[in-house]
Amino acid sequence: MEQFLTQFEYLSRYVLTAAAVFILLRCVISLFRLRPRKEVMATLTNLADDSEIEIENWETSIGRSRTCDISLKDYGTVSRFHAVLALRKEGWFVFDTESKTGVYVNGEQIRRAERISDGDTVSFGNAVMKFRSNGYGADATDENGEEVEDFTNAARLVNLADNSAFYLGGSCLIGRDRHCNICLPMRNIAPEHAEIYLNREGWMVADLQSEIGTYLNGELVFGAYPLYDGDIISVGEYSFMFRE
Amino acid sequence: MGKDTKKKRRKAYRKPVKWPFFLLLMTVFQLVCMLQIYINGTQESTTTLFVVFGVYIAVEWLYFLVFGLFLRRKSFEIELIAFFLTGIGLTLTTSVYPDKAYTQLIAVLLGIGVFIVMLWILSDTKRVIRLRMPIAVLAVAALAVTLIIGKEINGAKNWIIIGNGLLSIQPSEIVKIAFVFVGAATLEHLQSTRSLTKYLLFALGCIGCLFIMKDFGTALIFFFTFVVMAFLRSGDIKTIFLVCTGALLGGIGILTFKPYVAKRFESYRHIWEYASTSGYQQVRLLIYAVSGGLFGLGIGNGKLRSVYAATEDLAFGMVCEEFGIIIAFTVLLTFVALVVYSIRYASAARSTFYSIAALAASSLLLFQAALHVFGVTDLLPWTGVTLPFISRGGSSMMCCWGLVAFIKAIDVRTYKRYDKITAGGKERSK
Repeated sequence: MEQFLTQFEYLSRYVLTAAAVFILLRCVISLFRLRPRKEVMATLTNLADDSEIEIENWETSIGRSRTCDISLKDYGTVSRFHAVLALRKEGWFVFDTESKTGVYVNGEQIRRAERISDGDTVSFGNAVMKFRSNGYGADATDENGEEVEDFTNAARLVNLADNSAFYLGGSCLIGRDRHCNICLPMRNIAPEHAEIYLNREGWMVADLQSEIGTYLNGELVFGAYPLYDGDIISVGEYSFMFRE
Repeated sequence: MGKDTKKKRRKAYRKPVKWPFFLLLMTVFQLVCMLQIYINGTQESTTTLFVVFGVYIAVEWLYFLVFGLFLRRKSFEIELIAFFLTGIGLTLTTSVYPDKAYTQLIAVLLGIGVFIVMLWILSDTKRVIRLRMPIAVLAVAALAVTLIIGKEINGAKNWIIIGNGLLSIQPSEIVKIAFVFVGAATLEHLQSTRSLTKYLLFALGCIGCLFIMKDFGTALIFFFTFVVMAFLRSGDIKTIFLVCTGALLGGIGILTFKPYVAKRFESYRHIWEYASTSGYQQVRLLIYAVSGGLFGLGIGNGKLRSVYAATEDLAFGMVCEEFGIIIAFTVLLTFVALVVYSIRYASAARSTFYSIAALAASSLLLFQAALHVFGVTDLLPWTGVTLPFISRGGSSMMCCWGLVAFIKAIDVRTYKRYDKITAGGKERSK
C-alpha cells in the first residue's frame, strides 16, 4: 500500500502539470478564438463637401481635438470635445458634451442628449452632417417584419456590399428562389443554396449541395460548420459577415 | 480532396471550450491535490480537508450548472481560469494552514458572490452611471476610516480588525474594484475636462490615503491603474508622460525627505547581506523555489511552507516549489493573456465603459502579479502584495473575483441567452 501511495504521489506530479497546462492554455486559446471585427454601423455625410465619415464604434467622440474619433480640426466653431455619437439599446443618440456652440438636430438645439434616426441633420458648430444608420437601431426588423427588441445582441448577417444587416430570427435560407429569406437573383446561385440555423452548438452554416458551393472565410463548406462572430460567408459573388 | 479540405477547415477553427469536460478535468486536478495533501499527512484533520474540497467542488459544479444549463450561457473561459487559480490557492492554504482553511473557503464563496453581483451591475450601463458617485464616496470613506481606526500589520496601517480578531479586512483591496468602476464609468463624458478632473481628484484621494497608510505596494498598483485609465480616457500620451514624471519626482522627494520610507526597502538588491534579517523570506524563497524543478516536489513536501507568510507574500515560491515551475509560469502567462484578450476585444465592446474597465482590471491583475513575482525575487523592491487568486486572504480574493467580472463583461455573449432548439425548428437566441 505504501509503495502504491509513493508511486501515486510520484506520478501525480506529472499528471497535475499536464492537466494544469492543458486547462489554462486551452482556455486562453479559446478566448482568442473570437475575432472581433469592425463594421460600418452608421455614416455621417458632411454636407459641405459630401465626404462620408464611417462610424465603427458604439461610442464615437466628435470634436476639434486630435484625440477625438472624428477630428474636425478645420472647424473653428467646433469645441475640442464637442459631442458623442452613441449606440444604445434604444437606438442612436447624440450627446452634447458641454460644447460652446451646441449641437443641433434638424435645426433645433439639443439640451443634453437627443435620439437621432436615418436622414436627420446634425450640426456640430458650423459642421453640418447628415446621419444614416446601416441597419443598427431600434427600427431594425427581422425577416417577419417584427421589431428586433435587443438588436445589440441579435445575430445578423451584414451584406458587405452595402453594409445592410439581415437579422436572424431562426433558420435562414439563402438562394435564388423567391421564398428564400435572402434572395440572391443570380444564375449561378442554386434555388436553395445555403442555410444558416441555430442548434445546440450555436449558429451553423450548411451548404445545400449547391453546384458552386458555399465558402466560409474563403474555404469550401462541407456539410455544416459553426459560425463565430466576424466570419465571412460567401455565396457566389455575394459576401456576408456573421455578427452576434 | 473533400476529406483533405474538411481536415483543413477543422484545423482552422478553434472551437470554444466544452465546460463539462474542462470542469471534470479541473475536478480531477483538485481531487489529486486533495489526495496529495492527505498522503503527505500534513492535514491533521481529514474532515477539514474533505469538507473544504467537497464544498468548493460542489460550488464549482453548481455555478456551471446554473449558468450553463439553466441560464443557457455559452462562454466560460474566464470562469474556468478563475476557478482553477482559486483552486490552487485553496490547496496551498488547506495544506499549510489547515486551521485557516474554512476562513479561506468562506472568502472564496464571498468572492464568487461578488463576481455574480458585479456581472449583474455591469449588465446595464445606466445602473453603472447611477452607482458611480455613491461607490466613489464609499471608497474614499472606507480608506479614510482605515486611516483612523486601522491597525498596523507588517509595516502598513491597512487592516481593520473587528471583534477582537474575529474578522480582519483590508479595505484597500475592495477599493480596487471601486477604483476601476468609477474610472471607467463615464460613457459620453469620457473626454470632458470636468469628468477627468473629478477622476483625478478621486484617484489622488485614494493614492494619498494609501501612502499615508504606508501601503506602498497597493499605492503603486493604484497609480499604475490610474495611468492606464487616464491614457484610455484621454488618449493623450503627453499628459501621461507628465503624470509619470511628476510621480517619479514625488517618489524621489519622499525617499529623500522621509528616510523611514527608504528604510523599508533597505534590503532591496542586498537580500543575501540581510539573509538572516529582513531578507530572510526572499532568500529562502529563491533557494526553495528552484528546488521544486519543473514538476514540483508535490503538495506537502516543500520547505518554504515553514517560512512566515508562505501562502500570502511568498505564494509564487510555494507554487514553484510544490507544483513546479511549469505550472507557475503557465499561471503568469494566463495573466498576460487576459490583458491581450482585453486589448483585442476592446474595439468590439458595446461601450467604452466595458473596454476601459476590462483593460484596467486585467492590467491591474497583471501588474499586481508582476509586482509580487519580481518583488519576492528581488528584481523590484518587495512590497508584499499578493499573487491574484492564489495568495491567502479574504479581501484579496473578493477583489480578484470582482475584477475578473469586468473582463467577463466585455464579451457580449456574457449577457446572451442561448436557448435550446424547439420541436418546431423555430429556434431563437435572445
